[in-house]
Amino acid sequence: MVRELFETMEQLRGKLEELLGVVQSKRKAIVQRNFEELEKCIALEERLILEIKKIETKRLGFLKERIGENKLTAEIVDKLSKELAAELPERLADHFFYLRQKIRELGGRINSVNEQNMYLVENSRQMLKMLFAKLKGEKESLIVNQKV
Amino acid sequence: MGLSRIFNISTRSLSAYQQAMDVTAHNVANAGNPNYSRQRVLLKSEYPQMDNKFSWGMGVKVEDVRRVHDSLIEAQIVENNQKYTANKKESELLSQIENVFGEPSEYGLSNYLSKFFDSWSSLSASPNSIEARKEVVFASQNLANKVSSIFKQFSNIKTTIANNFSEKTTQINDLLKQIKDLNFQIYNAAVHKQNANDLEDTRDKLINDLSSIVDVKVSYDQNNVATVYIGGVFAANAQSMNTFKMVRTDDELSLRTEKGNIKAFITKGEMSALSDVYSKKIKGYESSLNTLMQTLVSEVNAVHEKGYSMNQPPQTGIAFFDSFKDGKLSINAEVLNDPKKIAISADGTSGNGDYAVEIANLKDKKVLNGMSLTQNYAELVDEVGNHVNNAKQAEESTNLVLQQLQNEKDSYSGVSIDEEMTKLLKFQKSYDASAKLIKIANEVLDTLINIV
Repeated sequence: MVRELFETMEQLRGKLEELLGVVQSKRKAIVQRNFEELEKCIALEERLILEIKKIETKRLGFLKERIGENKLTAEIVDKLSKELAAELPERLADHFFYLRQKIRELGGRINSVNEQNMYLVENSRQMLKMLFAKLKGEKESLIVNQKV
Repeated sequence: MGLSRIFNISTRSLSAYQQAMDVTAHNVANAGNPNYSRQRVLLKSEYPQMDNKFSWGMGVKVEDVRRVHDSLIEAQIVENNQKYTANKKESELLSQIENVFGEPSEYGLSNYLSKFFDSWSSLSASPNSIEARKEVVFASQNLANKVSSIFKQFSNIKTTIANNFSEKTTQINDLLKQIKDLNFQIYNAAVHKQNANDLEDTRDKLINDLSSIVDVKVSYDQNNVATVYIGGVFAANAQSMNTFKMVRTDDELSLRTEKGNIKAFITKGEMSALSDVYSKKIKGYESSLNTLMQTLVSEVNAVHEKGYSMNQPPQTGIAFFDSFKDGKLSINAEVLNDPKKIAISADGTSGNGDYAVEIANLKDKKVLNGMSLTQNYAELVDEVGNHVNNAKQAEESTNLVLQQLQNEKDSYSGVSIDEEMTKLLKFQKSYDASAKLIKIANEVLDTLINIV
Protein backbone atom coordinates (compact mmCIF):
# COMPACT_ATOMS: atom_id res chain seq x y z
CA MET A 1 0.00 0.00 0.00
CA VAL A 2 2.80 2.39 0.90
CA ARG A 3 4.48 1.47 -2.37
CA GLU A 4 1.26 2.34 -4.26
CA LEU A 5 1.07 5.63 -2.42
CA PHE A 6 4.66 6.35 -3.41
CA GLU A 7 3.83 5.59 -7.04
CA THR A 8 0.83 7.92 -7.09
CA MET A 9 2.93 10.67 -5.50
CA GLU A 10 5.68 10.16 -8.08
CA GLN A 11 3.06 10.30 -10.84
CA LEU A 12 1.63 13.44 -9.29
CA ARG A 13 5.03 15.09 -9.21
CA GLY A 14 5.60 14.27 -12.89
CA LYS A 15 2.22 15.58 -13.95
CA LEU A 16 2.59 18.72 -11.85
CA GLU A 17 5.97 19.43 -13.42
CA GLU A 18 4.36 19.04 -16.83
CA LEU A 19 1.49 21.27 -15.80
CA LEU A 20 3.88 23.95 -14.55
CA GLY A 21 5.59 23.97 -17.95
CA VAL A 22 2.22 24.27 -19.69
CA VAL A 23 0.91 27.15 -17.58
CA GLN A 24 4.19 29.00 -18.08
CA SER A 25 3.90 28.48 -21.85
CA LYS A 26 0.32 29.66 -21.60
CA ARG A 27 1.43 32.87 -19.91
CA LYS A 28 3.86 33.49 -22.73
CA ALA A 29 1.18 32.71 -25.33
CA ILE A 30 -1.25 35.18 -23.74
CA VAL A 31 1.37 37.89 -23.59
CA GLN A 32 2.46 37.28 -27.16
CA ARG A 33 -1.16 36.91 -28.30
CA ASN A 34 -0.09 33.69 -29.94
CA PHE A 35 -3.46 32.12 -30.50
CA GLU A 36 -2.22 28.76 -31.83
CA GLU A 37 0.12 28.31 -28.89
CA LEU A 38 -2.62 29.32 -26.45
CA GLU A 39 -4.99 26.73 -27.91
CA LYS A 40 -2.31 24.04 -27.63
CA CYS A 41 -1.64 24.98 -24.03
CA ILE A 42 -5.33 24.89 -23.14
CA ALA A 43 -5.74 21.41 -24.65
CA LEU A 44 -2.66 20.14 -22.77
CA GLU A 45 -3.78 21.80 -19.55
CA GLU A 46 -7.21 20.18 -19.80
CA ARG A 47 -5.68 16.73 -20.28
CA LEU A 48 -3.18 17.19 -17.45
CA ILE A 49 -5.78 18.47 -14.97
CA LEU A 50 -7.95 15.48 -15.76
CA GLU A 51 -5.03 13.10 -15.21
CA ILE A 52 -4.01 14.88 -12.00
CA LYS A 53 -7.60 14.62 -10.75
CA LYS A 54 -7.59 10.86 -11.40
CA ILE A 55 -4.24 10.32 -9.64
CA GLU A 56 -5.34 12.53 -6.78
CA THR A 57 -8.58 10.53 -6.33
CA LYS A 58 -6.47 7.39 -6.22
CA ARG A 59 -4.07 8.91 -3.65
CA LEU A 60 -6.88 10.15 -1.46
CA GLY A 61 -8.45 6.67 -1.72
CA PHE A 62 -5.27 5.10 -0.25
CA LEU A 63 -5.17 7.62 2.56
CA LYS A 64 -8.83 7.14 3.43
CA GLU A 65 -8.43 3.37 3.37
CA ARG A 66 -5.39 3.59 5.66
CA ILE A 67 -7.11 5.86 8.18
CA GLY A 68 -10.49 4.22 7.85
CA GLU A 69 -12.22 7.57 7.62
CA ASN A 70 -13.91 9.31 4.78
CA LYS A 71 -13.02 12.82 5.82
CA LEU A 72 -9.45 13.99 5.45
CA THR A 73 -7.97 17.07 7.03
CA ALA A 74 -4.49 18.58 6.82
CA GLU A 75 -3.76 17.56 10.41
CA ILE A 76 -4.90 13.95 9.90
CA VAL A 77 -2.90 13.56 6.71
CA ASP A 78 0.16 15.17 8.30
CA LYS A 79 -0.04 12.81 11.25
CA LEU A 80 -0.53 9.84 8.94
CA SER A 81 2.46 10.87 6.84
CA LYS A 82 4.69 10.86 9.88
CA GLU A 83 3.40 7.41 10.86
CA LEU A 84 4.06 6.11 7.36
CA ALA A 85 7.54 7.58 7.33
CA ALA A 86 8.36 5.90 10.61
CA GLU A 87 7.46 2.56 9.05
CA LEU A 88 9.79 3.12 6.15
CA PRO A 89 13.53 2.65 5.87
CA GLU A 90 15.37 5.96 6.31
CA ARG A 91 16.21 6.41 2.62
CA LEU A 92 12.60 5.90 1.56
CA ALA A 93 11.33 8.09 4.38
CA ASP A 94 13.55 10.94 3.15
CA HIS A 95 12.24 10.47 -0.36
CA PHE A 96 8.68 10.41 0.93
CA PHE A 97 9.18 13.77 2.65
CA TYR A 98 10.97 15.09 -0.42
CA LEU A 99 7.99 14.10 -2.60
CA ARG A 100 5.55 15.84 -0.27
CA GLN A 101 7.70 18.96 -0.29
CA LYS A 102 8.13 18.85 -4.07
CA ILE A 103 4.40 18.45 -4.68
CA ARG A 104 3.65 21.38 -2.38
CA GLU A 105 6.31 23.49 -4.14
CA LEU A 106 5.06 22.59 -7.62
CA GLY A 107 1.45 23.24 -6.60
CA GLY A 108 2.49 26.62 -5.20
CA ARG A 109 4.37 27.59 -8.34
CA ILE A 110 1.48 26.51 -10.55
CA ASN A 111 -0.91 28.53 -8.41
CA SER A 112 1.35 31.54 -8.67
CA VAL A 113 1.61 31.35 -12.47
CA ASN A 114 -2.13 30.71 -12.63
CA GLU A 115 -2.73 33.87 -10.65
CA GLN A 116 -0.70 35.82 -13.19
CA ASN A 117 -2.53 34.07 -16.01
CA MET A 118 -5.87 34.90 -14.45
CA TYR A 119 -4.82 38.53 -14.18
CA LEU A 120 -3.69 38.51 -17.80
CA VAL A 121 -6.90 36.83 -18.90
CA GLU A 122 -9.07 39.30 -17.02
CA ASN A 123 -7.17 42.22 -18.49
CA SER A 124 -7.31 40.66 -21.92
CA ARG A 125 -11.06 40.35 -21.61
CA GLN A 126 -11.31 44.02 -20.66
CA MET A 127 -9.06 44.91 -23.55
CA LEU A 128 -11.12 42.76 -25.89
CA LYS A 129 -14.25 44.53 -24.79
CA MET A 130 -12.65 47.84 -25.63
CA LEU A 131 -11.25 46.59 -28.93
CA PHE A 132 -14.60 45.14 -29.97
CA ALA A 133 -16.27 48.46 -29.32
CA LYS A 134 -13.52 50.22 -31.24
CA LEU A 135 -13.62 47.77 -34.12
CA LYS A 136 -17.37 47.94 -34.33
CA GLY A 137 -17.15 51.70 -34.54
CA GLU A 138 -14.40 51.55 -37.15
CA LYS A 139 -16.29 49.03 -39.20
CA GLU A 140 -19.46 51.08 -39.14
CA SER A 141 -17.62 54.23 -40.07
CA LEU A 142 -15.90 52.37 -42.89
CA ILE A 143 -19.25 51.19 -44.19
CA VAL A 144 -20.70 54.68 -43.92
CA ASN A 145 -17.73 56.08 -45.82
CA GLN A 146 -18.02 53.56 -48.63
CA LYS A 147 -18.74 55.01 -52.06
CA VAL A 148 -22.01 53.63 -53.43
CA MET B 1 11.98 30.90 -6.63
CA GLY B 2 11.44 33.83 -4.29
CA LEU B 3 8.28 35.81 -4.13
CA SER B 4 10.02 38.98 -5.30
CA ARG B 5 11.34 37.19 -8.37
CA ILE B 6 7.86 35.93 -9.26
CA PHE B 7 6.55 39.43 -8.76
CA ASN B 8 9.25 40.86 -11.03
CA ILE B 9 8.52 38.34 -13.78
CA SER B 10 4.86 39.01 -13.47
CA THR B 11 5.33 42.78 -13.61
CA ARG B 12 7.64 42.53 -16.59
CA SER B 13 5.31 40.16 -18.42
CA LEU B 14 2.35 42.37 -17.73
CA SER B 15 4.20 45.39 -18.94
CA ALA B 16 5.16 43.54 -22.12
CA TYR B 17 1.63 42.35 -22.51
CA GLN B 18 0.21 45.83 -22.04
CA GLN B 19 2.58 47.20 -24.65
CA ALA B 20 1.50 44.46 -27.04
CA MET B 21 -2.13 45.36 -26.45
CA ASP B 22 -1.35 49.06 -26.84
CA VAL B 23 0.20 48.32 -30.21
CA THR B 24 -2.92 46.37 -31.24
CA ALA B 25 -5.12 49.25 -30.11
CA HIS B 26 -2.89 51.62 -32.08
CA ASN B 27 -3.19 49.36 -35.14
CA VAL B 28 -6.97 49.28 -34.81
CA ALA B 29 -7.23 53.01 -34.25
CA ASN B 30 -5.32 53.53 -37.49
CA ALA B 31 -7.23 50.97 -39.53
CA GLY B 32 -8.78 53.72 -41.62
CA ASN B 33 -5.49 55.52 -42.16
CA PRO B 34 -4.09 54.56 -45.58
CA ASN B 35 -0.63 55.84 -44.71
CA TYR B 36 -0.29 53.79 -41.57
CA SER B 37 1.93 50.73 -41.46
CA ARG B 38 0.84 47.97 -39.13
CA GLN B 39 3.15 47.59 -36.15
CA ARG B 40 4.03 44.43 -34.35
CA VAL B 41 5.71 43.68 -31.08
CA LEU B 42 8.82 41.58 -30.95
CA LEU B 43 9.03 39.83 -27.59
CA LYS B 44 12.16 38.27 -26.24
CA SER B 45 12.80 36.10 -23.22
CA GLU B 46 14.63 37.92 -20.47
CA TYR B 47 18.10 36.61 -19.68
CA PRO B 48 17.70 33.78 -17.16
CA GLN B 49 19.11 34.35 -13.71
CA MET B 50 21.61 31.84 -12.34
CA ASP B 51 20.99 30.85 -8.76
CA ASN B 52 23.38 28.16 -7.46
CA LYS B 53 22.99 25.42 -10.00
CA PHE B 54 19.64 26.55 -11.32
CA SER B 55 18.76 28.85 -14.11
CA TRP B 56 15.54 30.78 -13.46
CA GLY B 57 13.51 32.11 -16.39
CA MET B 58 12.85 35.81 -15.93
CA GLY B 59 9.80 36.18 -18.17
CA VAL B 60 9.54 38.20 -21.34
CA LYS B 61 10.33 41.73 -22.43
CA VAL B 62 9.40 43.83 -25.44
CA GLU B 63 12.47 43.89 -27.62
CA ASP B 64 11.11 46.14 -30.33
CA VAL B 65 7.95 47.49 -31.88
CA ARG B 66 8.50 47.27 -35.60
CA ARG B 67 6.69 48.68 -38.57
CA VAL B 68 5.46 45.96 -40.89
CA HIS B 69 6.93 47.73 -43.85
CA ASP B 70 8.35 46.69 -47.20
CA SER B 71 10.86 49.24 -48.45
CA LEU B 72 10.87 47.66 -51.90
CA ILE B 73 7.11 48.17 -52.32
CA GLU B 74 7.44 51.63 -50.80
CA ALA B 75 10.13 52.57 -53.35
CA GLN B 76 8.01 51.23 -56.21
CA ILE B 77 5.01 53.19 -54.97
CA VAL B 78 7.08 56.37 -54.92
CA GLU B 79 8.41 55.63 -58.42
CA ASN B 80 4.97 54.84 -59.89
CA ASN B 81 3.29 57.66 -58.06
CA GLN B 82 5.65 60.06 -59.82
CA LYS B 83 4.78 58.57 -63.19
CA TYR B 84 1.08 58.44 -62.43
CA THR B 85 0.80 62.05 -61.25
CA ALA B 86 2.83 63.22 -64.27
CA ASN B 87 0.56 61.32 -66.66
CA LYS B 88 -2.57 62.46 -64.85
CA LYS B 89 -1.54 66.11 -64.91
CA GLU B 90 -0.44 65.88 -68.53
CA SER B 91 -3.71 64.25 -69.54
CA GLU B 92 -5.64 67.00 -67.69
CA LEU B 93 -3.66 69.83 -69.33
CA LEU B 94 -3.75 68.31 -72.80
CA SER B 95 -7.51 67.85 -72.50
CA GLN B 96 -7.75 71.59 -71.83
CA ILE B 97 -5.65 72.22 -74.92
CA GLU B 98 -7.80 69.87 -76.97
CA ASN B 99 -10.80 71.92 -75.91
CA VAL B 100 -9.04 75.05 -77.12
CA PHE B 101 -8.97 73.62 -80.65
CA GLY B 102 -12.56 72.50 -80.17
CA GLU B 103 -12.44 70.08 -83.11
CA PRO B 104 -14.50 68.85 -84.81
CA SER B 105 -17.19 71.45 -84.37
CA GLU B 106 -18.77 74.50 -85.89
CA TYR B 107 -16.48 76.64 -83.76
CA GLY B 108 -13.28 74.85 -84.61
CA LEU B 109 -10.49 76.46 -86.61
CA SER B 110 -10.92 73.97 -89.46
CA ASN B 111 -14.47 75.22 -89.97
CA TYR B 112 -13.27 78.83 -90.06
CA LEU B 113 -10.53 77.87 -92.50
CA SER B 114 -13.07 76.11 -94.72
CA LYS B 115 -15.41 79.09 -94.57
CA PHE B 116 -12.50 81.36 -95.47
CA PHE B 117 -11.65 79.36 -98.61
CA ASP B 118 -15.34 78.84 -99.43
CA SER B 119 -15.87 82.62 -99.34
CA TRP B 120 -13.17 82.97 -102.02
CA SER B 121 -14.85 80.27 -104.03
CA SER B 122 -18.19 82.13 -103.81
CA LEU B 123 -16.45 85.34 -104.78
CA SER B 124 -14.93 83.68 -107.84
CA ALA B 125 -18.48 82.95 -109.02
CA SER B 126 -19.53 86.60 -108.58
CA PRO B 127 -16.34 88.73 -108.66
CA ASN B 128 -18.27 92.00 -108.77
CA SER B 129 -20.59 91.15 -105.89
CA ILE B 130 -19.96 93.51 -102.98
CA GLU B 131 -21.80 91.08 -100.71
CA ALA B 132 -19.47 88.25 -101.74
CA ARG B 133 -16.47 90.52 -101.09
CA LYS B 134 -17.86 91.48 -97.69
CA GLU B 135 -18.30 87.78 -97.02
CA VAL B 136 -14.58 87.23 -97.72
CA VAL B 137 -13.71 90.01 -95.26
CA PHE B 138 -16.14 88.61 -92.71
CA ALA B 139 -14.77 85.05 -93.06
CA SER B 140 -11.22 86.41 -92.79
CA GLN B 141 -12.07 88.34 -89.63
CA ASN B 142 -13.69 85.25 -88.11
CA LEU B 143 -10.60 83.23 -88.96
CA ALA B 144 -8.35 85.90 -87.45
CA ASN B 145 -10.49 86.03 -84.29
CA LYS B 146 -10.40 82.27 -83.93
CA VAL B 147 -6.64 82.09 -84.36
CA SER B 148 -6.15 84.94 -81.94
CA SER B 149 -8.48 83.25 -79.46
CA ILE B 150 -6.47 80.00 -79.70
CA PHE B 151 -3.19 81.79 -79.01
CA LYS B 152 -4.77 83.78 -76.19
CA GLN B 153 -6.04 80.58 -74.60
CA PHE B 154 -2.60 79.03 -74.99
CA SER B 155 -1.19 82.04 -73.20
CA ASN B 156 -3.82 81.72 -70.44
CA ILE B 157 -3.05 78.03 -70.01
CA LYS B 158 0.65 78.85 -69.82
CA THR B 159 -0.03 81.44 -67.11
CA THR B 160 -2.17 78.95 -65.18
CA ILE B 161 0.57 76.35 -65.54
CA ALA B 162 3.20 78.80 -64.32
CA ASN B 163 1.03 79.73 -61.31
CA ASN B 164 0.51 76.04 -60.58
CA PHE B 165 4.25 75.45 -60.90
CA SER B 166 4.88 78.26 -58.47
CA GLU B 167 2.36 76.83 -55.95
CA LYS B 168 3.99 73.42 -56.29
CA THR B 169 7.38 74.99 -55.61
CA THR B 170 6.01 76.43 -52.37
CA GLN B 171 4.56 73.02 -51.49
CA ILE B 172 7.93 71.39 -52.16
CA ASN B 173 9.66 73.79 -49.80
CA ASP B 174 7.01 73.16 -47.11
CA LEU B 175 7.28 69.39 -47.49
CA LEU B 176 11.08 69.51 -47.39
CA LYS B 177 10.97 71.53 -44.18
CA GLN B 178 8.66 68.94 -42.57
CA ILE B 179 10.78 66.04 -43.85
CA LYS B 180 13.91 67.66 -42.47
CA ASP B 181 12.26 68.16 -39.05
CA LEU B 182 10.97 64.59 -38.97
CA ASN B 183 14.36 63.29 -40.03
CA PHE B 184 15.87 65.10 -37.09
CA GLN B 185 13.34 63.57 -34.69
CA ILE B 186 13.90 60.11 -36.20
CA TYR B 187 17.64 60.58 -35.80
CA ASN B 188 17.19 61.57 -32.15
CA ALA B 189 14.93 58.60 -31.53
CA ALA B 190 17.48 56.26 -33.11
CA VAL B 191 20.30 57.71 -31.00
CA HIS B 192 18.25 57.24 -27.84
CA LYS B 193 17.09 53.79 -28.97
CA GLN B 194 13.48 54.90 -29.06
CA ASN B 195 10.73 53.81 -31.37
CA ALA B 196 10.14 56.14 -34.34
CA ASN B 197 7.60 54.07 -36.26
CA ASP B 198 4.89 56.71 -36.40
CA LEU B 199 7.40 59.40 -37.31
CA GLU B 200 8.68 57.20 -40.13
CA ASP B 201 5.13 56.61 -41.36
CA THR B 202 4.50 60.36 -41.37
CA ARG B 203 7.79 61.04 -43.14
CA ASP B 204 7.08 58.32 -45.74
CA LYS B 205 3.74 59.93 -46.44
CA LEU B 206 5.43 63.31 -46.92
CA ILE B 207 7.99 61.74 -49.28
CA ASN B 208 5.12 60.14 -51.15
CA ASP B 209 3.38 63.51 -51.36
CA LEU B 210 6.61 65.04 -52.63
CA SER B 211 7.01 62.29 -55.20
CA SER B 212 3.60 63.12 -56.60
CA ILE B 213 4.89 66.62 -57.33
CA VAL B 214 8.44 66.10 -58.49
CA ASP B 215 11.28 63.63 -59.21
CA VAL B 216 12.37 62.26 -55.88
CA LYS B 217 15.18 59.92 -55.00
CA VAL B 218 15.67 58.88 -51.40
CA SER B 219 18.46 57.11 -49.58
CA TYR B 220 18.42 56.02 -45.96
CA ASP B 221 21.30 55.83 -43.50
CA GLN B 222 21.74 53.40 -40.58
CA ASN B 223 19.56 55.62 -38.36
CA ASN B 224 16.84 55.55 -41.00
CA VAL B 225 17.35 59.22 -41.78
CA ALA B 226 16.21 59.91 -45.34
CA THR B 227 18.33 62.00 -47.68
CA VAL B 228 16.06 63.40 -50.35
CA TYR B 229 17.15 64.48 -53.83
CA ILE B 230 14.93 66.37 -56.25
CA GLY B 231 15.80 66.04 -59.91
CA GLY B 232 19.33 65.02 -58.96
CA VAL B 233 19.82 67.99 -56.61
CA PHE B 234 20.21 67.57 -52.84
CA ALA B 235 16.96 68.63 -51.15
CA ALA B 236 16.93 67.60 -47.48
CA ASN B 237 18.34 65.38 -44.75
CA ALA B 238 18.22 65.71 -40.96
CA GLN B 239 20.48 68.75 -40.71
CA SER B 240 19.92 70.87 -43.79
CA MET B 241 17.72 71.50 -46.78
CA ASN B 242 17.71 73.42 -50.02
CA THR B 243 14.96 75.90 -50.79
CA PHE B 244 13.74 75.86 -54.37
CA LYS B 245 12.38 78.59 -56.63
CA MET B 246 10.60 78.69 -59.94
CA VAL B 247 12.33 80.31 -62.88
CA ARG B 248 10.01 81.30 -65.72
CA THR B 249 10.95 82.36 -69.20
CA ASP B 250 8.68 82.37 -72.21
CA ASP B 251 10.23 79.14 -73.36
CA GLU B 252 10.72 77.25 -70.15
CA LEU B 253 9.64 76.66 -66.58
CA SER B 254 12.36 75.35 -64.35
CA LEU B 255 13.00 74.54 -60.71
CA ARG B 256 16.22 75.85 -59.26
CA THR B 257 17.80 76.11 -55.84
CA GLU B 258 17.67 79.51 -54.15
CA LYS B 259 21.33 79.10 -53.25
CA GLY B 260 23.53 78.50 -56.26
CA ASN B 261 20.70 78.54 -58.80
CA ILE B 262 21.20 74.82 -59.52
CA LYS B 263 18.64 73.41 -61.92
CA ALA B 264 16.70 70.31 -60.91
CA PHE B 265 16.05 67.99 -63.84
CA ILE B 266 12.41 67.11 -63.54
CA THR B 267 11.22 64.10 -65.48
CA LYS B 268 8.46 62.81 -63.21
CA GLY B 269 5.68 64.05 -60.97
CA GLU B 270 3.09 66.76 -61.61
CA MET B 271 5.76 69.38 -62.16
CA SER B 272 7.27 67.42 -65.02
CA ALA B 273 3.87 67.49 -66.75
CA LEU B 274 3.54 71.22 -66.07
CA SER B 275 7.01 71.89 -67.38
CA ASP B 276 6.61 69.56 -70.36
CA VAL B 277 3.27 70.99 -71.46
CA TYR B 278 4.50 74.56 -70.95
CA SER B 279 7.95 74.24 -72.49
CA LYS B 280 7.37 71.64 -75.16
CA LYS B 281 3.78 70.74 -75.98
CA ILE B 282 2.20 74.20 -76.12
CA LYS B 283 5.33 75.60 -77.71
CA GLY B 284 5.15 72.86 -80.35
CA TYR B 285 1.46 73.49 -81.07
CA GLU B 286 2.06 77.23 -81.23
CA SER B 287 4.94 76.71 -83.59
CA SER B 288 2.89 74.43 -85.89
CA LEU B 289 0.03 76.89 -85.89
CA ASN B 290 2.44 79.76 -86.51
CA THR B 291 3.92 78.04 -89.53
CA LEU B 292 0.47 77.21 -90.81
CA MET B 293 -0.80 80.76 -90.47
CA GLN B 294 2.36 82.29 -91.90
CA THR B 295 2.09 79.98 -94.87
CA LEU B 296 -1.53 80.98 -95.27
CA VAL B 297 -0.55 84.66 -95.16
CA SER B 298 2.29 84.29 -97.64
CA GLU B 299 0.33 82.02 -100.03
CA VAL B 300 -2.80 84.19 -100.03
CA ASN B 301 -0.75 87.38 -100.34
CA ALA B 302 1.34 85.91 -103.15
CA VAL B 303 -1.79 85.41 -105.24
CA HIS B 304 -3.61 88.52 -104.04
CA GLU B 305 -0.70 90.82 -104.78
CA LYS B 306 -0.76 89.65 -108.42
CA GLY B 307 -4.42 90.55 -108.82
CA TYR B 308 -6.22 93.77 -109.62
CA SER B 309 -8.75 95.41 -107.37
CA MET B 310 -12.28 96.37 -108.34
CA ASN B 311 -11.97 100.08 -107.59
CA GLN B 312 -11.07 102.55 -110.30
CA PRO B 313 -8.45 102.71 -111.42
CA PRO B 314 -7.76 99.05 -110.57
CA GLN B 315 -4.83 98.63 -108.21
CA THR B 316 -2.41 95.75 -107.96
CA GLY B 317 0.26 94.69 -105.45
CA ILE B 318 -2.16 94.85 -102.57
CA ALA B 319 -1.50 92.41 -99.73
CA PHE B 320 -4.60 90.76 -98.34
CA PHE B 321 -3.05 90.12 -94.91
CA ASP B 322 -0.72 92.50 -93.17
CA SER B 323 1.01 89.91 -91.11
CA PHE B 324 0.74 87.07 -88.69
CA LYS B 325 2.64 87.93 -85.56
CA ASP B 326 2.36 86.90 -81.91
CA GLY B 327 -0.77 84.91 -82.60
CA LYS B 328 -2.46 87.82 -84.30
CA LEU B 329 -3.62 87.58 -87.90
CA SER B 330 -3.95 91.11 -89.28
CA ILE B 331 -5.98 91.84 -92.36
CA ASN B 332 -4.87 94.74 -94.53
CA ALA B 333 -6.77 97.77 -93.28
CA GLU B 334 -7.31 98.96 -96.85
CA VAL B 335 -9.16 95.77 -97.71
CA LEU B 336 -11.06 95.84 -94.45
CA ASN B 337 -12.31 99.35 -95.10
CA ASP B 338 -13.02 98.85 -98.77
CA PRO B 339 -13.85 95.33 -99.99
CA LYS B 340 -13.47 96.58 -103.55
CA LYS B 341 -9.76 96.45 -102.91
CA ILE B 342 -9.86 92.67 -102.84
CA ALA B 343 -7.70 91.99 -105.87
CA ILE B 344 -8.88 88.91 -107.73
CA SER B 345 -8.87 90.02 -111.32
CA ALA B 346 -6.05 88.49 -113.29
CA ASP B 347 -6.18 91.07 -116.10
CA GLY B 348 -7.68 94.11 -114.39
CA THR B 349 -11.03 93.66 -116.09
CA SER B 350 -14.21 93.75 -114.13
CA GLY B 351 -15.81 90.35 -113.74
CA ASN B 352 -12.54 88.41 -113.69
CA GLY B 353 -12.18 86.28 -110.59
CA ASP B 354 -9.28 84.04 -111.57
CA TYR B 355 -7.25 84.78 -108.46
CA ALA B 356 -10.24 84.15 -106.23
CA VAL B 357 -10.31 80.67 -107.74
CA GLU B 358 -6.59 80.34 -107.13
CA ILE B 359 -6.95 81.40 -103.50
CA ALA B 360 -9.94 79.09 -103.04
CA ASN B 361 -7.79 76.28 -104.46
CA LEU B 362 -5.18 76.89 -101.78
CA LYS B 363 -7.50 74.90 -99.56
CA ASP B 364 -6.33 71.69 -101.20
CA LYS B 365 -3.01 72.80 -102.62
CA LYS B 366 -0.01 71.09 -101.07
CA VAL B 367 1.83 74.13 -99.81
CA LEU B 368 3.35 72.95 -96.54
CA ASN B 369 5.21 69.75 -95.74
CA GLY B 370 3.73 68.13 -98.85
CA MET B 371 0.23 68.73 -97.53
CA SER B 372 -2.47 71.33 -97.91
CA LEU B 373 -3.10 73.90 -95.16
CA THR B 374 -6.24 72.13 -94.01
CA GLN B 375 -4.42 68.81 -93.99
CA ASN B 376 -1.63 70.39 -91.96
CA TYR B 377 -4.15 71.68 -89.49
CA ALA B 378 -5.92 68.30 -89.33
CA GLU B 379 -2.51 66.77 -88.67
CA LEU B 380 -1.95 69.18 -85.78
CA VAL B 381 -5.37 68.38 -84.30
CA ASP B 382 -4.63 64.66 -84.68
CA GLU B 383 -1.31 65.16 -82.93
CA VAL B 384 -3.01 66.91 -80.00
CA GLY B 385 -5.64 64.15 -79.90
CA ASN B 386 -2.92 61.50 -79.90
CA HIS B 387 -1.06 63.25 -77.13
CA VAL B 388 -4.27 63.36 -75.08
CA ASN B 389 -5.02 59.69 -75.74
CA ASN B 390 -1.48 58.62 -74.96
CA ALA B 391 -1.49 60.61 -71.74
CA LYS B 392 -4.87 59.16 -70.73
CA GLN B 393 -3.73 55.63 -71.47
CA ALA B 394 -0.51 56.17 -69.57
CA GLU B 395 -2.53 57.65 -66.70
CA GLU B 396 -4.81 54.62 -66.61
CA SER B 397 -2.04 52.06 -66.80
CA THR B 398 0.16 53.72 -64.20
CA ASN B 399 -2.90 54.11 -62.00
CA LEU B 400 -3.53 50.35 -62.23
CA VAL B 401 0.07 49.58 -61.33
CA LEU B 402 -0.16 52.03 -58.46
CA GLN B 403 -3.39 50.45 -57.19
CA GLN B 404 -1.82 47.02 -57.37
CA LEU B 405 1.20 48.22 -55.41
CA GLN B 406 -1.06 49.94 -52.90
CA ASN B 407 -3.00 46.69 -52.45
CA GLU B 408 0.25 44.83 -51.96
CA LYS B 409 1.30 47.37 -49.40
CA ASP B 410 -2.09 47.18 -47.66
CA SER B 411 -2.04 43.40 -47.53
CA TYR B 412 1.40 43.61 -46.01
CA SER B 413 1.32 46.72 -43.88
CA GLY B 414 -2.37 47.55 -43.61
CA VAL B 415 -4.71 46.71 -40.78
CA SER B 416 -7.62 44.44 -41.61
CA ILE B 417 -10.56 45.04 -39.29
CA ASP B 418 -12.08 41.66 -40.16
CA GLU B 419 -8.82 39.90 -39.46
CA GLU B 420 -8.45 41.69 -36.15
CA MET B 421 -12.08 40.89 -35.23
CA THR B 422 -11.68 37.21 -36.05
CA LYS B 423 -8.46 37.13 -34.07
CA LEU B 424 -10.14 38.77 -31.11
CA LEU B 425 -13.10 36.38 -31.20
CA LYS B 426 -10.71 33.47 -31.12
CA PHE B 427 -8.87 35.04 -28.24
CA GLN B 428 -12.08 35.64 -26.36
CA LYS B 429 -12.98 31.98 -26.66
CA SER B 430 -9.54 30.93 -25.50
CA TYR B 431 -9.54 33.36 -22.60
CA ASP B 432 -12.89 32.02 -21.38
CA ALA B 433 -11.65 28.44 -21.56
CA SER B 434 -8.44 29.48 -19.88
CA ALA B 435 -10.23 31.18 -17.01
CA LYS B 436 -12.37 28.10 -16.35
CA LEU B 437 -9.33 25.85 -16.34
CA ILE B 438 -7.52 28.08 -13.90
CA LYS B 439 -10.44 27.83 -11.49
CA ILE B 440 -10.55 24.03 -11.73
CA ALA B 441 -6.79 23.77 -11.35
CA ASN B 442 -6.91 26.00 -8.28
CA GLU B 443 -9.50 23.74 -6.63
CA VAL B 444 -7.46 20.60 -7.33
CA LEU B 445 -4.19 22.19 -6.23
CA ASP B 446 -5.64 23.69 -3.05
CA THR B 447 -6.64 20.21 -1.84
CA LEU B 448 -3.37 18.78 -3.00
CA ILE B 449 -1.16 21.33 -1.28
CA ASN B 450 -3.14 21.15 1.94
CA ILE B 451 -3.37 17.41 2.34
CA VAL B 452 -0.34 16.00 0.68
